[in-house]
Amino acid sequence: MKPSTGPDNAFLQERYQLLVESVEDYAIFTLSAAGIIETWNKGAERIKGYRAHEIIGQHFSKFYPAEDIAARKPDYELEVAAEVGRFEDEGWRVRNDGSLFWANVIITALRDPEDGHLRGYAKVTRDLTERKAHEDSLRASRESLSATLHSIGDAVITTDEHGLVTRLNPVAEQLTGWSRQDAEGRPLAEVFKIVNEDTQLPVESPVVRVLREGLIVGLANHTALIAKNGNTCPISDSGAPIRDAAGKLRGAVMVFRDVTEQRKAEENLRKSEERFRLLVSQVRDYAIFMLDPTGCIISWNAGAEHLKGYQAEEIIGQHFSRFYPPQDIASDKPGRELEEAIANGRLEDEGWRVRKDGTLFWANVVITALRDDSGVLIGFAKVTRDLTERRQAALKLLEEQVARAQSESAQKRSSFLAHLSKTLAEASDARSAMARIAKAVLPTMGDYCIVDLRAADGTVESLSVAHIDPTKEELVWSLRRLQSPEASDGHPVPTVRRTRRSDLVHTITNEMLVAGSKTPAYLEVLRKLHPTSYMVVPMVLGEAAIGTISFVSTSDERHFDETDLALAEDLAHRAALVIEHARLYEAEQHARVAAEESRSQLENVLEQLPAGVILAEAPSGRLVMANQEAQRILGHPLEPGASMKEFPVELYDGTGAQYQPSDRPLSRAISHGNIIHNDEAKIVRQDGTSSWVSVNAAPIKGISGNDVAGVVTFHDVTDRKRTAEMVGLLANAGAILGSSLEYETTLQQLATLVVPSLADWCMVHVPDGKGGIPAVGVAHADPEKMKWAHALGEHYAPRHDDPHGVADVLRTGRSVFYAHISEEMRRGNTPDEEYVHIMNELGMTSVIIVPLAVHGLTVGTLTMVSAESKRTFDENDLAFAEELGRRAAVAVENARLYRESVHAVRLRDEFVSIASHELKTPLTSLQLHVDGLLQYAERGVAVSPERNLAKLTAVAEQVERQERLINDLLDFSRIAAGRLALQLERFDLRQLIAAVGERFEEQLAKQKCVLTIDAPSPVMGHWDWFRLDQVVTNLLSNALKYAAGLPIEIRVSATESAAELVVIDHGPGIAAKDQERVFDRFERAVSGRNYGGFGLGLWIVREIVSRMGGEVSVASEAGQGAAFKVKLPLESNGGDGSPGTTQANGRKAS
Amino acid sequence: MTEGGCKRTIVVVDDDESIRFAISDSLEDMGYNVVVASDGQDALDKLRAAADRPCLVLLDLMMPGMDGWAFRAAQKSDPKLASIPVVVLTADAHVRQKAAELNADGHVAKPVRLKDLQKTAERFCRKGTE
Repeated sequence: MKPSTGPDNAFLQERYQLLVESVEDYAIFTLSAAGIIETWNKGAERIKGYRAHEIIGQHFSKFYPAEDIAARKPDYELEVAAEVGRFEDEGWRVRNDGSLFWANVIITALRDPEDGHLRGYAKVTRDLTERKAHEDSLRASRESLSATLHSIGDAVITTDEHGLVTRLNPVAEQLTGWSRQDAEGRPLAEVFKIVNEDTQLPVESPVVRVLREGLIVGLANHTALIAKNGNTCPISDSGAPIRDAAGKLRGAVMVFRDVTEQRKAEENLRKSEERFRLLVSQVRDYAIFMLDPTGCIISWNAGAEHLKGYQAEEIIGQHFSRFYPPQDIASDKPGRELEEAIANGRLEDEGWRVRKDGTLFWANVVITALRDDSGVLIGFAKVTRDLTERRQAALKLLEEQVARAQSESAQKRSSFLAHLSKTLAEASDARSAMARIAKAVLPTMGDYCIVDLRAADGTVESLSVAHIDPTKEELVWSLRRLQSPEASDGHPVPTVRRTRRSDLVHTITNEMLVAGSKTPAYLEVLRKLHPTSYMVVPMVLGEAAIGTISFVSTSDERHFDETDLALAEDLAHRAALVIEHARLYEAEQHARVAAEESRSQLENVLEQLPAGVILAEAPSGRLVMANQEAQRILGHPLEPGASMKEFPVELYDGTGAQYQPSDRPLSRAISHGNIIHNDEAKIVRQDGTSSWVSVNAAPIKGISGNDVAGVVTFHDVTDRKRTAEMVGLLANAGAILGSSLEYETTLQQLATLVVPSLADWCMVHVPDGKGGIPAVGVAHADPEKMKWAHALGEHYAPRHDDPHGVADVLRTGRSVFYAHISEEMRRGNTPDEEYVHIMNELGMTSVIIVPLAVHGLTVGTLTMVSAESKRTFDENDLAFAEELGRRAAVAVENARLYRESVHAVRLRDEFVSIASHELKTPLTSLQLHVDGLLQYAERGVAVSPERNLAKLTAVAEQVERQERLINDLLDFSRIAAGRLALQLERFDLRQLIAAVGERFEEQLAKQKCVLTIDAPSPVMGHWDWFRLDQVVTNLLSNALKYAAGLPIEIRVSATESAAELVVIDHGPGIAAKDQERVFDRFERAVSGRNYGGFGLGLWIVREIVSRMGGEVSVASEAGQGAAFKVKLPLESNGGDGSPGTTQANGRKAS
Repeated sequence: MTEGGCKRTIVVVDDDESIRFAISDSLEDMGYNVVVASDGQDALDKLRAAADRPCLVLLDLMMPGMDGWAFRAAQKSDPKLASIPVVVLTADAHVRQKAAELNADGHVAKPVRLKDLQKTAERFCRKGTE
């Protein structure tokens, strides 16, 4: 059984009917299995525009755009629906009227519940066009926002008004560890967990405050962000409310950045400086102080105070020569020492110096010249040590040594000591000094030697070894590698260092070697080296031994004695000093390098920033650094040390007021601790160019919390601001340009509109129709320079045959755009002093000329020039100018049409008024005469025949007059409609003149005019007699009308191809300005209503003559009469309005 | 004799000769004495030269030379002429309005019917018929 319809179906059908009737928002209809429409509801009718009877029975693919049909989309949709039961889609569909709409479509397969056979489909369609348009615009605005957020270097999170996250940019994702997908919709506090950096207690996020108070919450410091993975990093953050168009709070945006690197850099810098300062200030054994380049003391440490007896405050600022004995001062030893330090970078000296109390002490002095990066001398570091005791000891030793030397090989030893002293004096770093000494002492002081040094951390390092046989040096090194002296019982090195007493072994026994060796390998090395005698002497500095020197003899003949030991001790003492100096120097160098490194790191970071950054110290305002971007934006190099009070640019706030130096963002940050956030300011550079910048400024706190510097960052927002300005300008342009229907006003407004926001000066040119291209709109940003712009417009208007510029744009209708104007282009083709002068005054950097075009017709041009601002126009400016040009052209066209229509309406009104007057005049007479005649008849009054004749003559005249007027009107309407037919025949023009003259005889006599006809010979031609009669009649009537009582003359003559007819009167004449106009419709040279007729006579003359291929002109001067000249080809062409001699010849031939 | 010295004289001022003729011919048929003038100046001259005061001026407005408006202004400023009634005679569609502008005593639209002309003349010159 295969029931196609059953009871259930009938029931469902009924419900379905109800449902579909109630729904108007959905098109609901059914399709057969083949896609043919079977039912149709009201919603379908409304959405698709078909009535049920129009569409039922049609295939549903009718609703799809052609390309979808071509792609078999309708069939595909049915196939899918048949296969899976349902198909849903969104896409464009077509209405009955051909318009498209965005539809949501669901197709459901309808199957027989019994056998599962496909019966057809139900289709539900919804019109989502509005929703789609809305979504598109929303998406567009979201995308532009996203793009902005994406490109921001700072982290940005936005929330809705409930504080739920709506958006994170990539930087925010990275810092919080939350992906945008995971974070969206969560409370901000979950994603953006922040604690106080010091207390680690949770703090309120700025957004909470923003949402609560609706205020911008500025930079909060000492906040740490806890990322999703538990990492923390210090951040600075700020928040601002997001409001909708109505001002309602819609959410918040929070901007924050990771300040770890910044902190680290600051911390490193601070630490290294502190370390160095501590080192210097706490060293008591050394007087360490700084001199300026002239030798005046600028710093003083505790050691200096201790050693020299001066307090810092009493000695700083004094010259260092006061530490020298008088004889040294007299010989300018201090000066020489500085000179030598300058020459060699360093000077070391030992000698007597004077304490505050006048006592002398033996000092070791090292003076180091300090130079900055560029090599300029900035001062000296001076390290002084009191060697008085050591000197005395050394002197005593020396005496002993001298005594010993004298008793032994005196000559050799003293030269050796001199050599050693020299070696030591030359050394600057510990390692190289020791290496030199180790070598220099051999073989005098044994066969090999080892220098062991205790490092700061207590470990012992063997600094250098030497052996008289260099091949054995590796063996000596291996001694230390195989067995550390510290780990060996009874090894002399640790003992000597600890006790600071030297150890001398005259003869080393085999037992001693065995006892000192922990391993056979060590013993084997010892055996190979074969030590026979040794001395280990401490290198003592103050209270501690910093190391030892071991001297070893391997010769059975050489055994060390007390004399050797004294020399060794003296040597060790000197070496200790050298090492300490070297260490001190290295520490200082290290501190300097570390400080320099952290500074350069910071500078690198600042250099890389895509914003201008300027750092200035407080309170002086002196520049510390300015990155390249800052110098680029300001257009001026900024050298460290320059005063920011002499800022190289002028700065204006958003309202156009100039900042006083003390109000500038950086000054406010430095002087008042203000934080300036995203202020907009305009900078005007020294070259006159300007840019808009967004400025942030803040004070920088020192360790002690006081403001030590200020930083200002800024980036160029000129383009952004310009774009906004342009959009605003275009939005207003329509209203401004349309505000006047006087097109000169409109064009002047156009010029004013683009200055100064888009151009520095600007001109609008419109051809005057007589070959000229005058400037009808001129504007200049500088009112002082308007006169030059006007002068340019008046004296150097473009000419229509110019190959370039305005004329070119008028000809082609295409814009011209010169981004950079060369000097040559600026001077133009006019080698004219005045022109060059004007152009110099106006200036010209970049030029755009766009057409004012409407309906494909270029009615004028807009020329925009940048000059003072030195701005270079770009494609955006061009596009904007073109759009403005289009809008202006429409406005101009509207104004022109309006003016023409006003003129036409005025002419029409005037004509109607004249026509009414003229037509009623003969009627008035007619009426009265006819009424009179009727009255006679009615009353049976006997009237004389003369009276009747007089009245009837008057009636006849008025009828004739009325007929003439009506003929004029008919001619006018025929000509205006182009329906004036010519009946050409061959005749002598003189005959026609004579006939007209005859007809006018009576009127001429009445008006006391004498008509002279001067026509010496026949003038034969092909013309329309009746129309030419009209021409002559009108010209003669015209003459009579204006020159009653004066002679009138008609002259007729001919050339080979043309006849010439001139009607001359001696009336008031026609002013030059009116001569063209008299031939226009309804125009009369003499104003108004003083002369009868419609004012159509001359217009009809011109039209007829031109139909016959001729032309009419007037020569006249006011008060001198007028001569109307008609020139007619002898062979008129039958009336297409052109001279057409070819056709006339053809006629003749036939 | 008539009151106010009116001798049943009517002055017709119009630039169109045919109209002057038609009106004067009609008025003369009615028994009026008619003086014609081709423009305002002509009318003023004739009024000033007239021995008798006319009972009515029929005044066209659109005329070469001195037009109706100028004539009316000159007439009003001349105490001898100011009180002579003036009826505007014009083809202008706004005849009533024009008459009011000129502060005229009446108006007649062109083309005028004979009986309207007669009524107008009688209205201002009735006393003269006694």
